[in-house]
Amino acid sequence: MESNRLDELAARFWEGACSEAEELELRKELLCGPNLAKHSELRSYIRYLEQQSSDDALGDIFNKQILQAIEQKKEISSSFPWMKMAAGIALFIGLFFTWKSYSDSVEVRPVLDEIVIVDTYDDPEVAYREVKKALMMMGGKMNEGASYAGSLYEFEKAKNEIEKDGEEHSDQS
Amino acid sequence: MRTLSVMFMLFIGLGMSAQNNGIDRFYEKYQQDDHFTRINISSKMFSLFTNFDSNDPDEKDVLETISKLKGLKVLSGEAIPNAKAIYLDAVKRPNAEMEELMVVQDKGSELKFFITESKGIITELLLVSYDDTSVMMMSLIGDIDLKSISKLSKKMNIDGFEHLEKVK
Repeated sequence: MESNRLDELAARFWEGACSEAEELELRKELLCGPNLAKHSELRSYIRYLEQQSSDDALGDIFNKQILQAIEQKKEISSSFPWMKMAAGIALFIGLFFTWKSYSDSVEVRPVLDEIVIVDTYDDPEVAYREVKKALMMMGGKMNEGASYAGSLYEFEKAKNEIEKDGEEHSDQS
Repeated sequence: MRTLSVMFMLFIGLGMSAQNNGIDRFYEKYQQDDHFTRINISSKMFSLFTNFDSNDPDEKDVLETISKLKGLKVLSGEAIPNAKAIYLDAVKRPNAEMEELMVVQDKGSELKFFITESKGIITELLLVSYDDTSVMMMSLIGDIDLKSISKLSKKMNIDGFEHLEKVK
């Protein structure tokens, strides 16, 4: 590059009037061209700017790491609904088997009772008598409760009628 | 995920506890206690009752009611100092599926009926009662008709137990 052109570009640079292409041209010349004493200050400044921009710039490795991290996150987030669904299915299977084992245990309970707890009576007639006694007792207690509820109802009914009569008499007088 | 696991464990826990309730729990607990009398009549024994016959119409009704039953368990304790505590423990949660049917309260005594109902049929009738120092639990299993039990009891109270001898 001619010295005049370099001087002109330098002047325009200091004035802040350089275009992007001119600045690139100036930079190239100062960093790669002959070392002129009158532009040493500008060269130092340009070098400093170059140094700063290279320090601030993030390398390819960093970019790769960032992209990798993003991809991994995407993979985790995309597989998460499947994990939820799998957990839901596992829960329903668990609930089904729990319910089944419980209902089975209820169904086989009389059979198990025969195995674990033997009959108290060997004689069916004695056993029949005991069952009948138990039935009579249960029925008796049920009737007792029902009659108590019935007498309470009758008492309430009678009370209401008396109150009603009392009100009618007081209205007439 | 953690919440689901906790819910799952809780459900299993409830299921397990539901299997070990009602009269069975007390049957096992007081198995070695001399203060308690235990009566167990199995479905096998109940099936033998179908061989019985009677000419008496009342007895026929009893036989018909009993023919639908499959089991009876009675646990009765006498001279129990903590009868009320046992009663309260029993009525607190006799069985996960049971519903309270009736309560009869009197001075120093109380009685509760519980039923298990499935598709409109009463499959279990449980009576729990206490009176001063005695406690009793009675569980009937089968197809239970409360009306016929009540009716039978009314009839028998009038007629007495003299017809029992007629049973062959």
